[in-house]
Amino acid sequence: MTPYRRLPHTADLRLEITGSGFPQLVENAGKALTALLTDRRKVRKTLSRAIIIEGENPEELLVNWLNELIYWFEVQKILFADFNFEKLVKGQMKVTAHGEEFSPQKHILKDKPKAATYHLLNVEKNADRYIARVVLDS
Amino acid sequence: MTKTLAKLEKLDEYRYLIPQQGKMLTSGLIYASSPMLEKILEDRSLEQVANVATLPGIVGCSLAMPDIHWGYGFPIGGVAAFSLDQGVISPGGVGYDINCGVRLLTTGLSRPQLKGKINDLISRLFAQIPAGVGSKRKDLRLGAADFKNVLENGAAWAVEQGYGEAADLSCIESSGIMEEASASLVSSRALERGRDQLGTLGSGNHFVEVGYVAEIFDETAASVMGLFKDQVTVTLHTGSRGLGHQVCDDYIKVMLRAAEKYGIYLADRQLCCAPLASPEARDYFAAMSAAANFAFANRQILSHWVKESFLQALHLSPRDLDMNLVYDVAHNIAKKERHRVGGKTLELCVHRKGATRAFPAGHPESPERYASIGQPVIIPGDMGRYSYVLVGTQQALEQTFGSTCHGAGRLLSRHEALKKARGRSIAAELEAQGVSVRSAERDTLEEEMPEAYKDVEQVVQVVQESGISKKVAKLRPLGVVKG
Repeated sequence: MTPYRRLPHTADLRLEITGSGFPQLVENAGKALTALLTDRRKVRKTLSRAIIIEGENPEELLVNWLNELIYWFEVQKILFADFNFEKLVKGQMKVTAHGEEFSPQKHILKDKPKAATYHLLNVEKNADRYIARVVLDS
Repeated sequence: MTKTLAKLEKLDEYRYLIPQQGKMLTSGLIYASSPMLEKILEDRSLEQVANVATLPGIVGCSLAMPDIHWGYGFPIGGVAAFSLDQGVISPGGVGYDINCGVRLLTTGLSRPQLKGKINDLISRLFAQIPAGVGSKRKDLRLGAADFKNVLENGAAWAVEQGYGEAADLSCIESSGIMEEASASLVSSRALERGRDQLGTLGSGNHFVEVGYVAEIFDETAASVMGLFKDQVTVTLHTGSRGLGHQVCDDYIKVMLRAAEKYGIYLADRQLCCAPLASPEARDYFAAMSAAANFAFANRQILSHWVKESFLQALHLSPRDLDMNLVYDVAHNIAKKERHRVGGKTLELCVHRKGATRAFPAGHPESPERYASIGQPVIIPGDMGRYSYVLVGTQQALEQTFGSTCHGAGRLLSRHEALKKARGRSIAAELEAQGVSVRSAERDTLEEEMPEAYKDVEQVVQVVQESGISKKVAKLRPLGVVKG
């Protein structure tokens, strides 16, 4: 299965993300978010940030994770190309994100997600794979 | 078609009922024409109308305006009122872009006076008004105290700083200030997102449009609003930017826990809510109000730069330009209002998500200037066709808690629009139609092209014929700045 893909949605952005486990799902979700914003291949890995996310369940962790990445882009002006899931303990998830500062000339913006929502949100485990579907307001 | 939709009852030419059933506490009432309904039935927005009807303390029907489409929890184009003592408030009933709204400005100019000058004017607007993702103003730096003032005083703060006139405030919904706002209930993350965004347009379907009055339907109302045929106008559409989005996200988390705490059944997680009498609800209302004030201030500041752009591009004096604010309305907001229901006056919390307030003539909350005609309603269409100016009616007050539609609604997804636009120059097509366009982002023009939207005329026809609003004028575009 592809790590992520766009699903049809009239007004906003809808993603389907997969992973061989929850850690990979989270990493792929990060990549999917960046891929919405710009060509991920053009984002170098010149800096790293340790990002901590809290949530009571996989759906909440996913929404909070995507919203955190939107914040990093919008306010800190950083795009991330790659991610390393470090741990998830008692509802607190730590991910190291690798990327670079946003450059409007280099990173041509595609979609403009403004928030991940709970609309049609679903994180499920089928056999050995996690599949998540999420809608982002744009 | 779902079970709910199969039971749709036609009340009359423009109203359809979803009868109360299952967990619904009331019926759903949809304003739409028959051809529009066929399109509406293609997504699940009517299910969302039925879901809203399950929320406790709902008063009257769960309403849907004719521009209804699929949203988060509440449909876009949804209106629902809840009693203050028994009902709930839901961030999903307001939307992420809190107080996304629109204002209409008039000028003393006629269309012929812009001949040969529109491109320069649009370029000047594009230069003066930061647009696009991450846009910020270099000339507006807010300290913490100032920012608090913006969030608690809204458009009044902007006027104090010299943006516009004090008289503008009477032509803004709620006088441009939601009194219950509290900056302390807005998270530091939301403040961070909003701090550099005041005075910017944003992206997506936000715009500044220079147009003209193409047609007048109601001469009396038009005259009171100061509209005349061929008059040059400006329509401005934007909201609370990243700050509003963050407030919504922050309080969805609060409300998910609150719904569980208070034992509220949620047909959809995005309907998460809390009883209006609860601390969670009070906090959300205060934070939502602060975000709404940010948007009111934002539109007031942007109007100043619109005016400056006109003065500079056209080499006019302010007196010759004679720019005035007709009205400024919100279309994503929750308001505490008094309404007559079943012979009693009730205090209600009215959610309008992708819907516009439309109060009638003589209503105490309508501006005195418009007491004889009703509150102006501005309904933007797409950037190639037309927009409308209407007024609210007594029928709206009686049937829809004084609410009406807000715009056209998307027909094509952004992805579909980009596909359809491949190999075409939408800018050139619009120029050929006499519409000059500038856009901050690549792809925005394609994503926002006219074909991507429904025809707003059909939407306006429904509200006109059903009596919940009355047409005053039709505006056509001459130039647009898109985010």
